[in-house]
Amino acid sequence: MSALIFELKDTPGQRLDLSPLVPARLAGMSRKDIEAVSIGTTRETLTVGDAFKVKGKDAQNIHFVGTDERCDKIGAELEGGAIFVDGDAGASLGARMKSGKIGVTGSAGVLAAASMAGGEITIRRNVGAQACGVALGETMGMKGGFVTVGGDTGALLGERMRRGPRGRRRQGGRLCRRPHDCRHARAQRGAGRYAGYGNRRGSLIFMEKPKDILPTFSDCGVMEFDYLRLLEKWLRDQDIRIRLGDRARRLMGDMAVLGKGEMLILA
Amino acid sequence: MEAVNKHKNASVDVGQVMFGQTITISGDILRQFDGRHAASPKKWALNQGDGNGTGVVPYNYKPKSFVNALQWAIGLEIFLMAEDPWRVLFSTDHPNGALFVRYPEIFHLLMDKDERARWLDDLPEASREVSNLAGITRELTLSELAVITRAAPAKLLGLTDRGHLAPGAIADIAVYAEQKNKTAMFSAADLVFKSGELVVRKGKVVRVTYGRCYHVEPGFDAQIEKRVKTFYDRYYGVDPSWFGVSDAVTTRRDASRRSQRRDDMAELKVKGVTIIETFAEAFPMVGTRIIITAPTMEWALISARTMTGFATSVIACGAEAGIERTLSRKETPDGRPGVAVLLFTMNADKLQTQLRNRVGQCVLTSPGSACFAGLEGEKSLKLGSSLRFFGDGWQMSKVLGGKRYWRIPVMDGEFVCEDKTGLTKKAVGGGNLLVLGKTHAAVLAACTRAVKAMAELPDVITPFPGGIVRSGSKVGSKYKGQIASTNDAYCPSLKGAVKSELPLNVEAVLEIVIDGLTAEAIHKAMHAGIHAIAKGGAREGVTHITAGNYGGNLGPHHFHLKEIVG
Repeated sequence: MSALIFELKDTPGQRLDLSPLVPARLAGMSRKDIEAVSIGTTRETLTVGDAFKVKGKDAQNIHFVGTDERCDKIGAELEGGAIFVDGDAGASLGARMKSGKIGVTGSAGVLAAASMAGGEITIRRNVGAQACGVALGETMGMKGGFVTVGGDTGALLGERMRRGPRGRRRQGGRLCRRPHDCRHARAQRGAGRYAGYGNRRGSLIFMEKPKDILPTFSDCGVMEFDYLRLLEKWLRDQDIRIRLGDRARRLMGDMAVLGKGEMLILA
Repeated sequence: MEAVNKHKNASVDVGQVMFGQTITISGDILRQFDGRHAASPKKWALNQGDGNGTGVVPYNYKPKSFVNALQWAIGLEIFLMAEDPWRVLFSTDHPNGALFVRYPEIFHLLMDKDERARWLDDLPEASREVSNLAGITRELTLSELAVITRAAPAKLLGLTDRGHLAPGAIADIAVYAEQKNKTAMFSAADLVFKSGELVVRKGKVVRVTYGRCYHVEPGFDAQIEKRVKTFYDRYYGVDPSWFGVSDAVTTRRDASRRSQRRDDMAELKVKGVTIIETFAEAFPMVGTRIIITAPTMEWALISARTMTGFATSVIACGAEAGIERTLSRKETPDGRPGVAVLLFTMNADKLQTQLRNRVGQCVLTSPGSACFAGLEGEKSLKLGSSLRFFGDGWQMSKVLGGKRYWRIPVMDGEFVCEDKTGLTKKAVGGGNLLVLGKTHAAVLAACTRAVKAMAELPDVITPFPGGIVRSGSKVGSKYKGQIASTNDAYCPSLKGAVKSELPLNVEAVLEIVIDGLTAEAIHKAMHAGIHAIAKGGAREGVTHITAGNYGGNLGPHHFHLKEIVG
């Protein structure tokens, strides 16, 4: 069965709320029904059919084609299935998602992976501020899942990453800020300011040292991490080929909140 | 006898007494002990060693003895007063009443009233007075004699194919020429046919044939051996094997059975090495596999060997464990050299305890090591999730691809350990091969070869040192509290002292114990092992390959060597 494709017809006149376009909500819907779904964010009514050309049937495998930074909440609260974005994504990409996969060939806006609880997101280019941070209306940041960013990250990367509610989810989120391939590594700038602000758990892995590191992260020095080997091999299995090596500088924090999260800066 | 004659369902089994020397043998130890005073000559033997004693007391029945004379007369009276010969059975209760060689004289007495009168003349007056024998004139016919000695016993036992000379019946036949002197007549047959062959002609043996040795091996509950052993140990202080009857006693085996055995043995030889037709008895276990990685293969092996070092037998070690194989960088989760280790115990709780202790003490402690799951079983065991607390709160876990990994800070960096590993309940323990040979060197070389061959196969380990065990054990011991002791039946130095399973030319026996994640894996390993052992052929010095079992009562897995070789 072919993927369910949403091809953007034209630059939308308003920001789009694409949170209804997730597998769980589209399953079993006819194309006509899907085209009738409202995705507008202003008083001016806007449906899927108005903004997108809809093709294909497989709601478990959704493709967005030609999207731009005004397409918000793609894959928000995703609970399974796969979403592929051929273009840019707006704000709150994969916010609060619990499982599934999201891939973006371009950049993502603010609050990408905010309050994410599980699943995987791969962003080929840059990501805006507060990625892996705290979703609107939430008090805690990312608490599970895996995010890979190929380009720059904005400020407050991984803000308030922590354990899950009542300690049930012990898995902190991680963000690997990396270039899509190693040739671009030196051309990229570091992460935005205040990365890891308020972190209690979770790992932020950087290919190169961020320019501004919070003084509340304690430097533990450089050492070998078998975990990086494990990670590299797993990424290779996910068809993400990147050389992580096995050595990194470890910074632990955020000590402002007695956090036991970490930044690993590859050595 | 009037009562016997009256009741058609009554029969009489007579042990006829004859005057002269004989010997009495009985398991009625108290009767024999009481009768020791009557021993003639004055030598007797009583054996009360096994709870079922035997008494051997020589005895001489004398015609001048009132009692002996009465005993003699009563037997004859019964034969002669019985109206129906089909309900009277003849014997001398050999040797208690008389030796069976006295039969001709008894036949003579039964068939000739004048002969009886002659014997009666020598008896004490008192005996003659109380006996009715002198007044009996009946003389048994040859036909009646055949009935009481042959046909009636067969009929009473329900044996319809013998005791008569009808076509198809089973019989050895003696032919006598009619004589007046019946003693002389029955003492030397003119012709004797045995199994259809003429063996005696006119009193001379013309052909020697052997009889059959019937060998019966009825099944029995092996647990009784334990009870008997406990009983003997408690009351006699000796092993029941002291009272066993070894095969050496029956030196002449049945010819047909011997040839059959030769045929079997011919089928069960591999390069001249005899494969005994038996089976290895194995039992269900629970098992798991973990993968240990390290910066170098040397350190991965050190960690794995330390972890599996004292894990040869669940009897005393808590677990049976071993290195399954080494793993290349491509085969391990973290891309480092690794080793696959298998652990087995009798239940999941013990396996969990052993896994935690062994990984905690031997892998966590080993420089640069990491530990991962190696099995996706029907259930899971805690691995990192029970060791993480060593991190004292500094540990952290990461989930990759649905699997959780713990990172525990240690002095050389971090110990990475997967959260859980799988458990299988289909594991099998106790597969084994016993290798017998003429020299220790030959057996050791063959076993080493076999272990190497088995190490190439997946899902199995040989848990003992180098995969070989020289101290195979049996269950129990003469010493209280010792739950296992040396397998004396396979100790070459005890060949002459116990019920040994070893031929005289065997000087050494070694055992290979095999544990596997599946029964099929053990089957394959035993196949590879047998052929590796036999590779050197009989000329190398290995004589037999056999296997240990407990009569089929220990475990449901029976690995028959014949099927495995096939």
